[in-house]
Amino acid sequence: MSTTRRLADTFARMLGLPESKATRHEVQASAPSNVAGVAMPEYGRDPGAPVDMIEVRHPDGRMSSYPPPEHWNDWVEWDAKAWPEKVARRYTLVPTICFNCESGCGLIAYVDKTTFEVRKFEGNPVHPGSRGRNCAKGPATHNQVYDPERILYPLKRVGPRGSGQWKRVSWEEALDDIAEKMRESRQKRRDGIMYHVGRPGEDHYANRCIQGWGVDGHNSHTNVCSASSRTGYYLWAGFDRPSPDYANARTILLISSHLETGHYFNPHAQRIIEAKRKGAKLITFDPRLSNTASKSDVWLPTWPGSESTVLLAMANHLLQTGQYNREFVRKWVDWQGFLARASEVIADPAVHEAIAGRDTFEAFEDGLKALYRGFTFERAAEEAKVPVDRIVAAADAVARAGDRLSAHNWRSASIGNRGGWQVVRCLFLLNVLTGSVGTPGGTSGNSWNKFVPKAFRTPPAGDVWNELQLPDEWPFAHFEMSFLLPHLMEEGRGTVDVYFTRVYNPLWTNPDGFMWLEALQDEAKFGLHVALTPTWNESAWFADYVLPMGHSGERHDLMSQETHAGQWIGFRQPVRRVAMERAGKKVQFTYEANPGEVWEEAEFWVEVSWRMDPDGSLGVRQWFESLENPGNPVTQDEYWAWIFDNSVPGLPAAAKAEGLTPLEYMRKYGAFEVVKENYVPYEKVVDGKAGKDGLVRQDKTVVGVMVDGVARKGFETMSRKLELLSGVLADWGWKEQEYAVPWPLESHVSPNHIDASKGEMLLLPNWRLPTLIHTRSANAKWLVEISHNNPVWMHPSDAQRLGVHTGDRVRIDTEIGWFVDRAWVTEGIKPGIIAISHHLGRWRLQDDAGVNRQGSSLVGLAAQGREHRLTIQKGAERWESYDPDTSRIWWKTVGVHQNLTHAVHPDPVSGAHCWLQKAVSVRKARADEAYGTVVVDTNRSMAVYREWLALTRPASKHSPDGTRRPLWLKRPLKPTRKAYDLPKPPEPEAK
Amino acid sequence: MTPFESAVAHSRTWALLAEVLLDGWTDRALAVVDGLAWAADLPPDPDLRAARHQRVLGSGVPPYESVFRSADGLLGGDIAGQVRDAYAAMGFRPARTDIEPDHAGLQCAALSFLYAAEADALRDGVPTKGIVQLRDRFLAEHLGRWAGPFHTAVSRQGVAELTELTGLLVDLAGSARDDAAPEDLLADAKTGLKAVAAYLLVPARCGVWLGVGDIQRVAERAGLACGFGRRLQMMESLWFSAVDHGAVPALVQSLGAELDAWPPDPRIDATRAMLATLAQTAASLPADD
Repeated sequence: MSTTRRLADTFARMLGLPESKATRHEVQASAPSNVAGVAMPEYGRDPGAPVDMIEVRHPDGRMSSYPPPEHWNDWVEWDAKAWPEKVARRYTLVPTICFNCESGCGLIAYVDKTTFEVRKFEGNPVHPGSRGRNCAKGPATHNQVYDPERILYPLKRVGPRGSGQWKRVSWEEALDDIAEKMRESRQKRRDGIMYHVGRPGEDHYANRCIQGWGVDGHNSHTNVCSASSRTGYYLWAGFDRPSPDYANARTILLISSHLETGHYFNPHAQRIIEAKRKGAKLITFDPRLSNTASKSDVWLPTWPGSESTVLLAMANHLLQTGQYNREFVRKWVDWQGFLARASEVIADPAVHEAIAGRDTFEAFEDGLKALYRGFTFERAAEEAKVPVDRIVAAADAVARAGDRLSAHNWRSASIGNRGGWQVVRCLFLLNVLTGSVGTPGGTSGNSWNKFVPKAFRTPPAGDVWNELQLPDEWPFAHFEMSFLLPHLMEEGRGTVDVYFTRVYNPLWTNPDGFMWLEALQDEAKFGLHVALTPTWNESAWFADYVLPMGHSGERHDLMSQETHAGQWIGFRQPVRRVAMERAGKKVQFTYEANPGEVWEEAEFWVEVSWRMDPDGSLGVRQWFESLENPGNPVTQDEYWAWIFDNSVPGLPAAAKAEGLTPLEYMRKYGAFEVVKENYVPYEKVVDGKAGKDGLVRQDKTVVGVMVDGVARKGFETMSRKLELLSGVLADWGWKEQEYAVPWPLESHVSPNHIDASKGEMLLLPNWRLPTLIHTRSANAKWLVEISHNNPVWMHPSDAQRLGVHTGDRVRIDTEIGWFVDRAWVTEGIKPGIIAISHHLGRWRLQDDAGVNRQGSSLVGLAAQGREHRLTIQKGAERWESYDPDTSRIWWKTVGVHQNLTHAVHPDPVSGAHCWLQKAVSVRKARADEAYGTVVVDTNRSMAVYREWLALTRPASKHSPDGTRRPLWLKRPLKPTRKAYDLPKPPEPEAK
Repeated sequence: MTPFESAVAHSRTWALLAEVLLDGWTDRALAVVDGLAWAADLPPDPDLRAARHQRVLGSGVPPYESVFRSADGLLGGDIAGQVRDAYAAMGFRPARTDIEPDHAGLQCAALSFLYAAEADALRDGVPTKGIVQLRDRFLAEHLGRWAGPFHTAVSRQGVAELTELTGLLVDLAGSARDDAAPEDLLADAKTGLKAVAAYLLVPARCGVWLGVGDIQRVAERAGLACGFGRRLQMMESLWFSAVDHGAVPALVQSLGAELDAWPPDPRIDATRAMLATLAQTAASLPADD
């Protein structure tokens, strides 16, 4: 408009002198489609208009809006991306469970009613654990479903392993071939089939299948994850994980940020914030200023390995000042056991003087105070290299917690250090002394709050022991020594006929990956390698079959987690299949509804097991047979209907109240709250006969313990009480005080082992950014865009010493090799320590295949003898695909694969890989040392392995009863008692 | 129109500008502009009006004199102080103290205040010379110096009603050009891509305003990615990706199209020359990896 007219008009209006219509677009509906993996989805237009959402006010005061469940079958909402045009879309909302970590958070898939394409994944408000909220990883499931580089069909290797040549095969062909090889193995032996799982993402189904095959074949990733922590908790209380009731805590004590910012992030984080809003104090031990540390009232950047000393200083403070829960300790600690064996185990004469031959609780108290008297705040401050006043502040907060101390350790110190399991023993001592065990605001056992239903027809335990999984040297391992598989194989301890990696990438995730590379290429070690995976990974490249399995909205699983003091189950569903069935379409197998021929393991296992035993002669087929339709394999509907009908208390009644079957209820809501609150279950009164040992039995089974004249359930320990002194450890050769009672064990990276004067540093690799998922986020474009680099965190004082600035290339030498990364100079890390997130540095060997181009580097692998070298040829890049976002990739570097250079460090007790590494040299890289280069000598790998092997105390030498492992200890799949017998030594040859 | 009527009309028009720039399209503002031809493109949906207002003035083009005129292109600083002093001299007390005084809306409010005072004086028959001097000086030293670039920057966001509104602002304030000297950034041999990116984000240096939307448009036209985040991060990403992908000439061409949309200015000429040099020497530019 002209200036003159605009001004004139306006002035006229100002002096009192003197429309558009929205365009309604035609509503069109397109046809059903299934375009994931080949095109971006489209959605039908609808003439309807939205209804109001429900508002949910969360306990921390926040409010969210959700579609009301009564509208989930038919939900209309405006399409935000069409804005400002108002376009309505009509969906059926199908609940499922996130598969991007183990929290089991609820998701709702918005499935378009016209095209059956998934529009988005949002939170499920009726899920008791996540309560409608998700972290970034949940909604990013959509990226994974519509990833342009998805594996859509079963692939079979052509040419040598690792050559990158694949052909598409049918499911029929793959099933028949794999089943035949399983049958051949099973006919020969019962330890030739191995299922190696990364994140289970479900609670019983696969284990039941393995048991059905009659083999000892369950192998997990636990020993690179939670083994140490599990050992510590198990020795105390007979449960192997904590379940803090954060929301009601007065003080929250976290060893590390890992759990709350990276792992079970969402359900715990929201409850921690809830508690903080109510005034709870948060204490975090972490040498790195993590998100959690930054939200803490007291941040203790302890030197790794010093945590036990700091915790015992707090314990000592409680003891010496009388601020411990005397009544709880008297009732629930096995102090009688401590007094009975103190003379055998405790080395300090002052303790014996304090006890003075008495057998009273008072004697125990005096002994305890004497035992821990040396753990002063000053000593703790010196070892931890933190100001003493911060430790005092933390101890005071613990003392003020009363019986509302929520504490947790998952990875971090426990999985970082040799003897990390003792960090957990020391941490739980604080729960015990404050009486915060199973109380509101306290710390429960995971088994109290995680609900695992009884399986559909349980096969019997096997009578075989696979030495490759639980070898003689680690009778206390929690659990299988999975990361040592190539090392054990190299020693000739065994081979595997059929090796299933299931959402597992050992070559990339585990330490010492070049050992895995060597082993995976060797067909004499792994006869057939089948990778069941939703996305490409480095290990799958060396498989014989790559079988595409579904993401969270493409599969059936049942999950529960100990998110709070209650119990729930969540039902993962193939959402397109459910939506199609709601629309009256018939679907026999889930791969008919999923993108391409992506399948789900639940159906795959049934089909492959059925073919493994075609005539039933192996005794396998029976466990996969339908009850309703004998002679045919069980269907998913039948399987889950049986579970929900028979194995989940309260669910049938809740379903009936809505006029639904239990299966319909779970398909509608996706979750069910089994127990709303579950506190102090060990106090439960039980029936039984009390023996002289104080234990209560029904028949010959111990079911409880007498406490003050009442038969109570107690804990799942040998004494049914909390075991300060572990008699089992002492019996199996770990009799020294520093093992048998909570006590610091010297870490392999203690200051005594890191010579700073030589430039040695501590490499902290066991943490990650909250948007990453081990090796499963490279296919999520949103997540990769948020975080795609893992630089070396370095304190300014170290950077100055080394002449390094942010962005400079740095070479880091470990015990077995070296790598080059870029520096990030920050005060968020403790001097003397360098930290690198272990979830980045993905790579592929072929430009147009393998791990996604947005999240991996194209690399070259070379070897001279056993010296391996990985060099980056190019980083992430943009490329043309149906997804316009692939041409918008603006980042290039995607991190460095540091784990390759980590020597294996199997803890001699827990068997956990102790992740912290000694950086024997850190310096500015030379011009010819390119970013991302990794060099490793696997001869050194084996040498370091043997050094740690020598630290063990094998069952064959220390077992008190001729068994391989204490029967009391947990195993994911426990074999028969007979299988526990140590093999008899060979008879001497007759002369 | 009598002098009194003119003063009243000016005062009310400045008040309208102030209200919309500060508070968006309020009911009162809508009632005023209803039926005016230049306001015909106002969307009927209040949410959409608010969203468009927020997109342009909340994030696209910061409506502050200091952003457009200071050497660092940042909010606050000397210019904001000078505007505050000018308000004090004219006896104007801004109704909003939660924002910096050099906000365009507050400057409009100050001018509305002065025109109202002039109208009062005319009505009462008292001299208006002092008021007119204050007004003319304020326009010459402040709003008139950046109203033009501000309007151009707003017009590049593609929201018709705000383009018209700021056009009205220029109608009233004029568009005197700032007289900052052009720079020869490349005269310094150490100038790298980061310095170039920083230069392009300061209107007082390069002569144009490039907001988030503008940078995205430049990237899209050049077939490049700029990522997200702060403007500086986006502009740096844009240059780095141009170097990585050998697309500096395409980027320079795309940036040139932006410059062409602006009125003539020696600083823009200098920027254009610098970009041409960069395009020629792209191969030798330092690139971070």
